[in-house]
Amino acid sequence: MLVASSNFLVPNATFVVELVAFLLVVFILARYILPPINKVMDERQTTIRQALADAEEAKRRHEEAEAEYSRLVNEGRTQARAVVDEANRMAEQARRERREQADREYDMRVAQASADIEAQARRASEQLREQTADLAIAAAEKVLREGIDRSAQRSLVDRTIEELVHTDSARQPENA
Amino acid sequence: MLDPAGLLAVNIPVGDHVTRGGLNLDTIWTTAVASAVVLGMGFYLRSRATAGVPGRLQLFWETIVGWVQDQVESSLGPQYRRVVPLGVAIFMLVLAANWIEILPGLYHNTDYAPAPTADVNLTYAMAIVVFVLTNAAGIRSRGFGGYLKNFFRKPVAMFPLHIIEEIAKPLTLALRLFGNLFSGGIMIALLISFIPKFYAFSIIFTPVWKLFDMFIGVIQAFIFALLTILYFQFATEEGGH
Repeated sequence: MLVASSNFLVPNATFVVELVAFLLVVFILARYILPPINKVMDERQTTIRQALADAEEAKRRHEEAEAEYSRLVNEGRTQARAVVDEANRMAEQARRERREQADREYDMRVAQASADIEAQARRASEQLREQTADLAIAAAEKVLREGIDRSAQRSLVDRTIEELVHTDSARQPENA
Repeated sequence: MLDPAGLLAVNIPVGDHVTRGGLNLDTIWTTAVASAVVLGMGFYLRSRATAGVPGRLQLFWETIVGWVQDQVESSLGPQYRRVVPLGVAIFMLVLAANWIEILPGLYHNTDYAPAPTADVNLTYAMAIVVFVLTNAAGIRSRGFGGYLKNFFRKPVAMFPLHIIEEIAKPLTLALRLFGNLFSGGIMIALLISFIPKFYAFSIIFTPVWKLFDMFIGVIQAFIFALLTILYFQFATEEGGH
């Protein structure tokens, strides 16, 4: 049944039905539909916030680990350099010590040899002088056959030899 | 044939309803359809809502709920969360109601699927609810004395205008929505009435207009919900507006 309303801006009894319907929709929405939707929205937000926080934390940890790693590497490098330096220093010192010792030993042996040679030379010249003196005396005795004052003779001969030796040692540096 | 007066002399029934016992049956049952669509989606979502990746329907609802929540919290503050369901209900119901107009029918006010929002009964009902609730919120936040005093705020001579403004708010809210949808329906009726004479024109522009009507439907739902929240803000904010 179609009825043209007298004025379509004026409400009729339908208004009450529409009012009830609208309030019902608001009530059902507020009571049954929006709470679960809000709940999942909140949950998702919590999840996202948590995920962001976790990502932040992971990033921080990663940076820390990286810093620690580079610190360790640097420390290791420094230590390695120190070890190498120390080894070089010790090797150098050992070499120097060995050389010094060798030098000292060489000097000592040379000095020893020089001393031995000098002692032997002195002994030889001593022996030579004594033998020469005895020989000279024996020769003189044989020549004179007569008892000359032996001690006077001896001093004479010694003096002669001394002079000879002196001229010898004066000449010696040329032979050395 | 090309007589302009003859062209325009189409008989489009305006403001007619399928009535029985003083009730606009068409408005009532299209309201029921719109409500069923909204609540059906809502209950379907209630059983499916996930905190994980949301589906399209959930995403749509969450967008609307999120938008209303943002509006309420930025204009009213978190203590007015009770307003959120009202805003969501208004947007969803008005949108569903407006889009019913897209369903095919020969003549707007006589087809079986007019938009219920093209009947003042629904828009007045919603506006009255908004009017009562915003004024109640005003009384609650300012006290009854403060609420009354707000009408006599300076300049005091403006007092009659403040009264008129308070009445105009729900009236305009209701008539804006009604006018948009009502005229949209008349436009469709007009386009369809062209069919015998300008078949091609009518066939092309009826869907174009219906698409435009869908757009208007979204805009009007948006405006109704937004203004509801703003009226709450005006009613409750310190020092009036």
